[in-house]
Amino acid sequence: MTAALSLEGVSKTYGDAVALRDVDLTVRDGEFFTLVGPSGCGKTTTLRCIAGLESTDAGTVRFGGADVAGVPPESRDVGVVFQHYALFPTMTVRENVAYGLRFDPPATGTVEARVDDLLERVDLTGMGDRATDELSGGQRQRVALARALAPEPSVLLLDEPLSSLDARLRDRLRLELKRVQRDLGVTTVYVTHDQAEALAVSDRLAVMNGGRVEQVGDPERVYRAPATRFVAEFLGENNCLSGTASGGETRGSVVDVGDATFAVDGEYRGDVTVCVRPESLAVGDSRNEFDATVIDVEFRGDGYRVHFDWNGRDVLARLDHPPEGTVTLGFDPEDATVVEGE
Amino acid sequence: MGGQVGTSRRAALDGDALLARLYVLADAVGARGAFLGTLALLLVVFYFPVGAVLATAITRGAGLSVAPVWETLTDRFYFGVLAGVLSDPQSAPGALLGWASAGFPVVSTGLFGFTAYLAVLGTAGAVVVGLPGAFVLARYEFPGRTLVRSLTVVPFVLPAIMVAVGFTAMFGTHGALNAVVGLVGLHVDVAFTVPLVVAALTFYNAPLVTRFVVAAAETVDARTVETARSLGAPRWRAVLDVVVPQLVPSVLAAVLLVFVFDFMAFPIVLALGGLRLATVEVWLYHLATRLRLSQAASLAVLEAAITLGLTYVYLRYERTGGAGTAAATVERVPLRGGLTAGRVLAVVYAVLAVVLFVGPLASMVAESLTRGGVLSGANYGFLLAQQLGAGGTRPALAVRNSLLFAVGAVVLAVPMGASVAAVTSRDGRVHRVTGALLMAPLAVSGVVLGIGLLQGLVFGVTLFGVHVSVAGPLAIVAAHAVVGYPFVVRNVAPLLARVSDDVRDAARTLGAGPARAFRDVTLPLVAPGLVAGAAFAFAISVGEFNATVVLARSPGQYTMPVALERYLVTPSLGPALGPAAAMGTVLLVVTAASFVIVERLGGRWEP
Repeated sequence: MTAALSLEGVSKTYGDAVALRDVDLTVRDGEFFTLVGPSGCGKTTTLRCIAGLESTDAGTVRFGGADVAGVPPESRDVGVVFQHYALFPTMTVRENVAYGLRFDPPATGTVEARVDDLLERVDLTGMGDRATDELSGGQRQRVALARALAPEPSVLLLDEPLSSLDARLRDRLRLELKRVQRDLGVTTVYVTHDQAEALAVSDRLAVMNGGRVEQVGDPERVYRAPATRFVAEFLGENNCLSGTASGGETRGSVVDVGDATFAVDGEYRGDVTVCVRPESLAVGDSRNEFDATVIDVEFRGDGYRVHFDWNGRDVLARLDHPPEGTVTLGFDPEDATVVEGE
Repeated sequence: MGGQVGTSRRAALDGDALLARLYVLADAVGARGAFLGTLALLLVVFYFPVGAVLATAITRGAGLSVAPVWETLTDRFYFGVLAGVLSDPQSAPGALLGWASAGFPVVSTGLFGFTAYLAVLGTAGAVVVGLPGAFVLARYEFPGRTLVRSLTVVPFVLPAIMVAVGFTAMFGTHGALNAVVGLVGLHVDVAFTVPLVVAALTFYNAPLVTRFVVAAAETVDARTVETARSLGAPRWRAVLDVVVPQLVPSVLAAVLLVFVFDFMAFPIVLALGGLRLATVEVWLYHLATRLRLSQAASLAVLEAAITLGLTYVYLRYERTGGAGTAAATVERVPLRGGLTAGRVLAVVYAVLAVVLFVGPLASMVAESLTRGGVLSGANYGFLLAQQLGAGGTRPALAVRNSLLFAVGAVVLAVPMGASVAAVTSRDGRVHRVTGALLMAPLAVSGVVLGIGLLQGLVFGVTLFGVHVSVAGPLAIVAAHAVVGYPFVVRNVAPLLARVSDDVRDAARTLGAGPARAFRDVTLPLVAPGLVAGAAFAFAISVGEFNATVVLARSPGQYTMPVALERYLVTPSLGPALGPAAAMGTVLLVVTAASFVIVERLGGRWEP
């Protein structure tokens, strides 16, 4: 697959604040690519640099191989869906969707037909003459999507498009968004702070932190094999313990985390962080075990989310039965992820 | 048929091409370019002329000197006993003792002292009349409340000289008041007295106090009152402890602003007091008309120091005043209902307010419609006739001039205001600086601006050996635009602030260039503000007197307010107030129309 979009060494500062440091990304043709990270990590700035709404201080942004430095947003062939919809309040739904076609009329068929087709795709047939303030939040978001798609952009950019909607609606629109994107096969860059959403929708994702890209990959791989402690803790829940690794008895390594030593798979030496997912912890004997005291038990419907105290460390576990008092927790070596460094 | 369609399509394409080229041009200039253009224009027609006037006050011969200002400061005519103290500090203690032993007789405070005295009286009047009005509007619900509240905008669009005509028509020797009290054999002569001037200043500024305080009262959160009452405070106590402290900043802001306005009040004092009740501003004008410009300049410096200082304090208060909107405002009670002391006072106040506010305007309109005690259109016929009035004024020409200058002022002020609003709504730091610069035309006296434009632009300056001068009418239009454009900014900026960057960005990513995005997205959203701002600028231009009276060097350049003043003060016209009243009524209609536009579009008026 060819790269629809690539960033090479892109940096951006606002005064003293560094927004982006040396960002490298490649987005493949037709892919649903997600930028995920906490607020202020630079994901929206990255998106705006792609759209041409921000200039970069260093580095190159390429669309299909061509450097777009100095190309204004109106000439970049992108469609953007903004967090708060950004619909034109003085225009109807139809006029909003048709706006981009004023500058880029459809190659075949009429503007009317194209708008009707898009409204149908986003399930807003017959709503064309509504004023935008007569629409619900979800409908506005769909108009914004249809408007961004109307001029058939080569790249669709979505900036937290679902974050101002309530949870149920968000789920439904996420499905719809995915369907429309797949139907049209448009290359999409999606920005979200919601790691669960990122894991759910993406073909591939990039985890960003402090203006840097921490890791890029498909969701499952990044979740199972985080490259840094930040990624391990940001995607899903995790118990991360700093320790020192040395050679194991037969294979693998042993990590001394202070109050215990844990056997892990793989060859590690020196400072490492051992990460164990809450669902990998279980009560009872196993190769790596330690005694922890229950602090709080949350009922989660499909099980229990239990907070433990282990010699001053917080430990989180997902268990099928609610424990009491002090219990022995354990995990298997193959379930632990080891990240180099503290 | 086919050919026709082809041609019209080609014509349309040419039009599109032209438009596209215009957008490219606008993109190249940008909001920043327009802003810089505005600053350049302001530099030429405001900061340079005013600066030049102030500079002449601190130069003597070729060098810098404090002598001119010092001479003014130590002149008993301007500063009374303070001048004596300044010129001879050692004698001060002895003089103080002598004053005490003489039983504290009234001392001379000079022109500045008298101006301050008049301003204090005017401000007191505005507070005494304005605060109860605020109470009534904030406390009671009655039909027409919204209209009355909107009418408090009137001081900003009503020409002061017209108010002077109204007061003459009502309280003058042959006015409505004497017609009424004459029935019982009384006669009141208040012409050219302090009470008349103070009453007119009150008429002009009390609504401002009302407006400030009502606006503040409407942002008081009802829940704070409810909390106080739930903690055991009776209603009056809750109001005193919770509401009143929230209103104090706005009252103080209003007091400062009214004092500045009163201190600089010009047409009202000139027309109702004349040189007998001369204030600093009137004397400044007097000096300017005799072209004693350097003496006027040192006077202007001292006046500007006072008014700019107070304006600065005002701006600080304005910033500390609560700008938030309450989630739940304190509910108003209907004015109709059981007899309470509050309701009785409200009704009494309403009657007095009608006499004070409607009386003068009604008297003026009535005066304009009568001649010799009978209904007549003669006064309006006089306006249309091309005959020479007092001071060689052709009334029809003055009407035409006023309208032409106003159109010119609007054409200049709207883009100026819009570009300033566009730039200041984005950058916080720029915003604060320009916020102060914007206030400058309000805090610098119109007479000083007029003198500056007169000697800087109309008399001309020599730049690189070339003499550059500007025609009088152009200078008048420039002065009007400078005075009016802050109102455009104030009307456009809040609407502009509500246009989110995302909406603009959305248009950009859909293919619109910056100018096109502005035209398609921003402009429709700020259009009401632009129209309201234009209406303000129009009304202000039509009513502008201070700068115009200095700049209008010949009767051919007179505007309605200037002509009005000529009619009013020319004794030859004497009791025949009719023509002035007729022209005043025309002014009233024009400004009322502007007011309706402003009101309909939810215009903002705060300076």
